Amino acid sequence: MNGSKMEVREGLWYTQEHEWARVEDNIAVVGITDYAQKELRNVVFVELPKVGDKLTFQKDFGYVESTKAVNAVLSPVGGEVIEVNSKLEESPELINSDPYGEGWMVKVKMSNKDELNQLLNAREYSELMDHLVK
Amino acid sequence: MNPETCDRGETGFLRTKLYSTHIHLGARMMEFHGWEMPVEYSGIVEEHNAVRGSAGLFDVSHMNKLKMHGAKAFDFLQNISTNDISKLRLNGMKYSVVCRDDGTIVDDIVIIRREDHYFLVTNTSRKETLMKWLEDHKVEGLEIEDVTCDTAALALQGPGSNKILSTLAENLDDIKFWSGADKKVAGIDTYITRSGYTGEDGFEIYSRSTDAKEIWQSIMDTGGKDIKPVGLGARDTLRLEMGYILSGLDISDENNPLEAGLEWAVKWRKDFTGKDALRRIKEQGVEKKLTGIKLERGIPRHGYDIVGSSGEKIGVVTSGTNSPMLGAGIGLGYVKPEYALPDTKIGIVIRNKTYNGIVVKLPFLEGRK
Repeated sequence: MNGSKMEVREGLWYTQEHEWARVEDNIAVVGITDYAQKELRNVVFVELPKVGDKLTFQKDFGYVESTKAVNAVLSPVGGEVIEVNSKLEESPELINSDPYGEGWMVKVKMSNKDELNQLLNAREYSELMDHLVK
Repeated sequence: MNPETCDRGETGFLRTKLYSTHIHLGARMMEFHGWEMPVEYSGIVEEHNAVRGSAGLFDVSHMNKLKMHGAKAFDFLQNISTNDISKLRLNGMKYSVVCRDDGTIVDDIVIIRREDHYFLVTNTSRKETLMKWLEDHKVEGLEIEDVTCDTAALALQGPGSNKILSTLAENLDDIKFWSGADKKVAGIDTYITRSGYTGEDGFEIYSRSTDAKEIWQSIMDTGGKDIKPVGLGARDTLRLEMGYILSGLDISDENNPLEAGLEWAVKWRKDFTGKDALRRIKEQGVEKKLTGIKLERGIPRHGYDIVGSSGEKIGVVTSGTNSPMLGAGIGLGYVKPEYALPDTKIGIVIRNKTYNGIVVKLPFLEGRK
């Protein structure tokens, strides 16, 4: 694999564990990155929290399963789930085909926007890609 | 095992002679019971579909391979096998189970009768257990030779297998299902059996390990766009769709062949180690049965609890995956006999949540070999 082949979108926040958050006002849309979906390959099952569940910064909030593996997804922000992508129930492969778009997982009403300061921006995450993928 | 003929990487794990081929093909490698093996190349689902639709080639040289020689080889094998080896023709192949005195399983094995020896293929994950058990029970006049590292094993599987291999080897049609023959493949000496672990037509090709690369390349070149290299990941999804058990996961030290649904390979009219115990178990009835399970959503995996309609635990999943053909989570697991009937509603507990499923008659996939 090659670092430049991993899509990193401008304007998103990233975790070292390959989750992303797109923030507007105090709402964050959360998913897993292109790198994460490529590592997993065929995503066949996604377990999401329920609307109203409270997520904790950097704690498991869902699971993405490939044929072989079960991967926990950590929340890049803390807060309350206000919407989940129920399309993933029927079509978990959206995470592979469009990780930053239709493959989004949850929308979270953030409880503490300062947590974003601990995440990586697109440039920093791209640098991480360059280290991981040679 | 003759360690001189085994390759070892810097990681300390054993490598087959095809290691560099796998790397060149971009395989994702994984440690598998002491061996560094390819899990997948282009992706498990794509490889799975290639085997169901045309053809796939597997390197299964890590499988434990033994030769049993000597005047007592037949008596010994017959004695340790639940199946009847006396019926085995020259070049015939038989599945059998090796049990302890108490009826528990040491391993399941495949026995091929050759001119001057019996050739055994057994499970990598159970090698240590089996070899120790054989060592403890072996008799005068029996020699057991471990040829794992000297002998490569390739599996060519899928509806297109015959066409591909026929280009490289003559008269394949005289190899009947579950039997073997000495054949040249691209001019190289091999022993080919018509068998496999996928539910498709196919061949398993044994050769000197030093010839494996050339045979692999000939088959891949001949298959062209109709063949894909296939890793252990798809080997698992393919065997699970057929409900084939995997020793070390679905059967292990605690299980007996009756509860594992292997009574077809237990011949009551002959003697074998563990027979008395199995007879008693049969009379009393088994405590649990290995059954197929299918989920509406979610994927059953090894160790997950199986529960009844009121949430009570009724068993445990031994292996599972997402079936590429059915697009559903499928698995094998032991349940109490009263829950083992097809269409019985069950649940699987995944991270403290219960997912609905049913008991399914095996195989999951109909209409295969």
